[in-house]
Amino acid sequence: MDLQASTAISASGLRAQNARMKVIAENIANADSTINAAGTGPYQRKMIAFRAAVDKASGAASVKVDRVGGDKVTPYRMAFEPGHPLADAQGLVKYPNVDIAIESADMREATRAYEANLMAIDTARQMMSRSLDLLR
Amino acid sequence: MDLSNALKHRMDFLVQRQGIVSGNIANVNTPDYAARDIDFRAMTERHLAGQGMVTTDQQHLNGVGGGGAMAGALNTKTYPVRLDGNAVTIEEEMLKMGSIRSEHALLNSAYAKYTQMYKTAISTGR
Repeated sequence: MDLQASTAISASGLRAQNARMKVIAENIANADSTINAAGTGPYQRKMIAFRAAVDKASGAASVKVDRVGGDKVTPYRMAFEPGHPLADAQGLVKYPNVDIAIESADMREATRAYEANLMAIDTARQMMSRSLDLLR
Repeated sequence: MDLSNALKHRMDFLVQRQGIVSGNIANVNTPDYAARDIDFRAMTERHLAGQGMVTTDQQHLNGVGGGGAMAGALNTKTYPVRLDGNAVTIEEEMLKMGSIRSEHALLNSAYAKYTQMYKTAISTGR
């Protein structure tokens, strides 16, 4: 393994955190979407799962997005709004199961992981340039 | 093993370790991933023995503790394991990376000094 390979691994980390950020943004944007794209109910919170991928050449582990799926466990938020066009007989409206507090905590974690990956790239780059300086 | 060889071997190790630490950081949110590390002694012993499994195809893996210079030791002893089975601590990895960087810089300047000795020897002959 050389420093180029370790930079590639960190880049895979950046990509993964980027994808995670996209999912979080989607959740926050749709925090109040009472109808999803299919028109079947309120928007369902999405979650992302990562998977370690072994790089055959070096044996080190890069990261890949395994899948993005809906959160089927967290219950939908019910709000009492009798005047709402989507209210049922009891005057309740079903809102997405998105909790902004959880999303912002996730967002912070993604930012931190992204920064750590950037730091790893920076370290590899510095090591490379130190070695190149030997030629001078 | 002369000095320049020894320096090269240690620098090789540092570069390998940097790759493994990068992998750990990239997998900080991967479920069931435990932080890996590499052992200098094991790597040196394998290097001195000069053996390992031969890879005859691009698809062959070096494997844990197998041939090549790469050794991926699973490390779950010193790390707290989270609910999703992930055992990577960013702070720990940052510390490792910092020590790798400073040691690499130290070895680089040692190597520069070493070559400087040759230059001095050559120039005094003139």
